[in-house]
Amino acid sequence: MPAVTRLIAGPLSAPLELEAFLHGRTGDGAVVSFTGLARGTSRTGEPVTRLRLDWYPGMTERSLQTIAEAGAARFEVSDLLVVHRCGEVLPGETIVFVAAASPHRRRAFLAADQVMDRLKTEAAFWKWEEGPGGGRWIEPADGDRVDTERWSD
Amino acid sequence: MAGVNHTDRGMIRILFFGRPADALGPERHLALPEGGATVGDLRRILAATDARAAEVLLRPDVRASVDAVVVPEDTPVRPGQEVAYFSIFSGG
Repeated sequence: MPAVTRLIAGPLSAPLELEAFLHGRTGDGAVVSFTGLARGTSRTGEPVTRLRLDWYPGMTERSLQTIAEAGAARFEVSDLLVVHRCGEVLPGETIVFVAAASPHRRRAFLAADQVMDRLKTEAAFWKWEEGPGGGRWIEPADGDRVDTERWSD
Repeated sequence: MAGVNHTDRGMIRILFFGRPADALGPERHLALPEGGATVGDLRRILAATDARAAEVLLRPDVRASVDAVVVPEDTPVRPGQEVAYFSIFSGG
C-alpha cells in the first residue's frame, strides 16, 4: 500500500499527475482522483485575490505522509498519491491532488474521500487569505471538522 | 550579538508560524538559560518581550514543537535544537 506525497511550491497540473498515476497500471480496476481548486471567494462571500500557504519544512511533509499512509493502510488501496501546493496560490489554481488506486472502486473512493477530509483539517499549513479588504488567517471550518469526524472509529 | 547563529553553544533557533509570526516575525534566536529550559519556559521568556507577543503566544491553542515534532510544554530544550510556536493548523 505505497503512499507517495509531494509538497510543491510551483504549479500543480492535475491532468499530468493523473496521467502518470494511471500509466502502466494493470492490476487495478479503479482509480479515484480528486482535484482541489483555490476558490475566488471566502467563506463569507468576499472576493479572494490570493492565498498563501505557509509551511514548516519537515513538519508539513510529515503530516501529509502520515495522513496518506494511514488512509492507504486503512482502505488497503494499491497506491495513494497526494500532491499539495505551498506558498502563493491564486484563485482557480489547483491546490491539492489526491489519487487512489484499487482492484475495486469502493476502497479507492473511500480512501480518496477520507484522505481529503483529513488533509482539510490536519495538514500542517497556515493559510492566509487576501482580498481587497486585507488579509486574514484561515482555520478549519466546522463543516471540515464534521467531515473528518465521520471517519472516527 | 554579532556572529551569533543557532549552532553556537546555548543558542536556540525559534521559528513562528501563523498568528505568532505576525507578532514576533518568522524567526528569533534566544540564549538558553543556565540550568536549561522547557518549551513552556521559552514561551514565557518570549511572551515577556512585549504585549503583542504575550497576547498571541499565551493563547492555549498556540502549540510548540522541538525539531519539527509537536511536543508538550514540559519538554526540555537542548542547545542546537530548533523550537517553533504556531497557531492551529489551517489544513490544506
